Amino acid sequence: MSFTLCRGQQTCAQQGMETTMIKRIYIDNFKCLVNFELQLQELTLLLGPNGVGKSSVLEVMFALRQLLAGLAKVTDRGIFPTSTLTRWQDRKIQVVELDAVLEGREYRYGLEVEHDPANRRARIARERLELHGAPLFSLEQGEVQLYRDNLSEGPCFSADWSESAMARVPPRQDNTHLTCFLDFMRKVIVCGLYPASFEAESSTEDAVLDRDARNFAAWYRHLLLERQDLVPDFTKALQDVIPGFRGIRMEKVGLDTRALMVIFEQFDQRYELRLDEISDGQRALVALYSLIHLAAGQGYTLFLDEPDNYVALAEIQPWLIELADACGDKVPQGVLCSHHPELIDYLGPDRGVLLNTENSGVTRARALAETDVGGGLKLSETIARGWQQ
Amino acid sequence: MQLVLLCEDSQHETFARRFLGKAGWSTRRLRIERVPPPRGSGAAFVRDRFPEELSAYRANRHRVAQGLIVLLDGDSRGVDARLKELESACREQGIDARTDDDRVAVFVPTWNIETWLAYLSGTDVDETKKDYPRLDRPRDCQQHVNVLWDMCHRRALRQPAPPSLEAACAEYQGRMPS
Repeated sequence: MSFTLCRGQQTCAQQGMETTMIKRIYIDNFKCLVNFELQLQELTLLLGPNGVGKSSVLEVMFALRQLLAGLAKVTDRGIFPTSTLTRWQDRKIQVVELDAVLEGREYRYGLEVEHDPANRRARIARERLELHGAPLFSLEQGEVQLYRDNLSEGPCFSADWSESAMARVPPRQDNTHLTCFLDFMRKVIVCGLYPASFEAESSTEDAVLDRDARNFAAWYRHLLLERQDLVPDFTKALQDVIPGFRGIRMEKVGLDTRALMVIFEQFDQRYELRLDEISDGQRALVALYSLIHLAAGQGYTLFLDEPDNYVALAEIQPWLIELADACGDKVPQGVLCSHHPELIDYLGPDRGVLLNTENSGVTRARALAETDVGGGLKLSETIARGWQQ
Repeated sequence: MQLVLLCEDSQHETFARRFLGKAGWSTRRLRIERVPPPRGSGAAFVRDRFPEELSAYRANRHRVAQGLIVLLDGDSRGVDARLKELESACREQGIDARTDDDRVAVFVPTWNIETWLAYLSGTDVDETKKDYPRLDRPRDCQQHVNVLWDMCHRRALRQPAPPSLEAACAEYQGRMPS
């Protein structure tokens, strides 16, 4: 698979829709995803049967985010270990491509991971970033070639094959485009909320939300530092959602450690509960509304697995509506995976992408807006009956 | 949920929801019911679903339900014909047609919602023609909603206004729940 931009293809940016979002993800030889291509909108719902690869798409995005944030090596658990190679074939190269439009500029990032299954080792064979088809960064066989913003050749050097060499490029005045892409990718949130794991205490401010949001309190501390001004809006939203909720405060419980306390006023009483003392559903609501209101305007792209888990039925559509309004505006982009009828019926007809396994075993994605499914039934009912095929 | 919004598509929904938002209806008090795929039969879906929603509203109006908002395109048929279709759908289901006591407002943009959007962006429109472009994104209708809100507030649509919008304003003033 080449990293060359498809020049004949007219993109949204060329059509005058200046946006900041990932337009396309290409994945080859990762779990069940073989030669798999996915087009994304400002808000996209991935749906389809179990085992078709929805969560694998999020795993790849998580791996890219970790690599490009310089937080992981290629063989780390949850990145691209050899166990993620597609099992029913024996190709050793995994390929990921990502097309993004950032402030109207078209980027293509490409990564090739070469595996040595016998020794369970892997290395990055190629890594490349292009802007409008011209290279900004290239890694081939361990040799990095940098390019300046004016597309002239910059320095070249040898790099560690086990991690993203691009993540190690420091920001400079002449590589603002490359830095812009890295900043964008470092603000990708890939999360499947697991409220039971949420820790109430934190001794750090974490810029990155964990895959299960267990470090929510530390991430909240980070957001507080970044944008204190967003807290009133966030608090107001939760006051509408959680009965008795009044606010959140960080209580000092150690030298650097603070506990996230949720303040309630209810039954003529004012009381506080630690984050790990409120219900799973309330924790999920706190996290879900923070992703819209506290992440607002900060460039966070959201990839959320089953955001409906733990949340009461009546709370799902209001949150979805808020998210849909925010995406493309306060939040650059959202990609959700879900089997829940509320998400399927509200988002599916316009924003749903159905993943299906073909007879060959290959997973294909098709936008439901371009597909004749349903026959007047609710989309969730069509899918429940298996009539979407 | 206190207000159910029964409509054809995401442009209907966004337009109505944002207008209701200006009137003080928060998203949390709304329940959205939209046409399932495939498209092309939106008005028929709304018509078929209307008796069920009207019945549910009546059964719950003394406890929680405060109203029912319906949006369906007039297409070539127009406002009166669509209202008659809804009445007829109720009759077929053995349900009394909408009465003055029901806080049930029916809006029938004709030819479709794009006619209203074109009018609200300053164009003189002819609602007997299906001539007006769709917005790139449904949420781009906020400025149109603002214009309509100002006109409604002053009870003065810019003339000449499409008759279906005049009818909608009367419907809003007379039937919307407070």
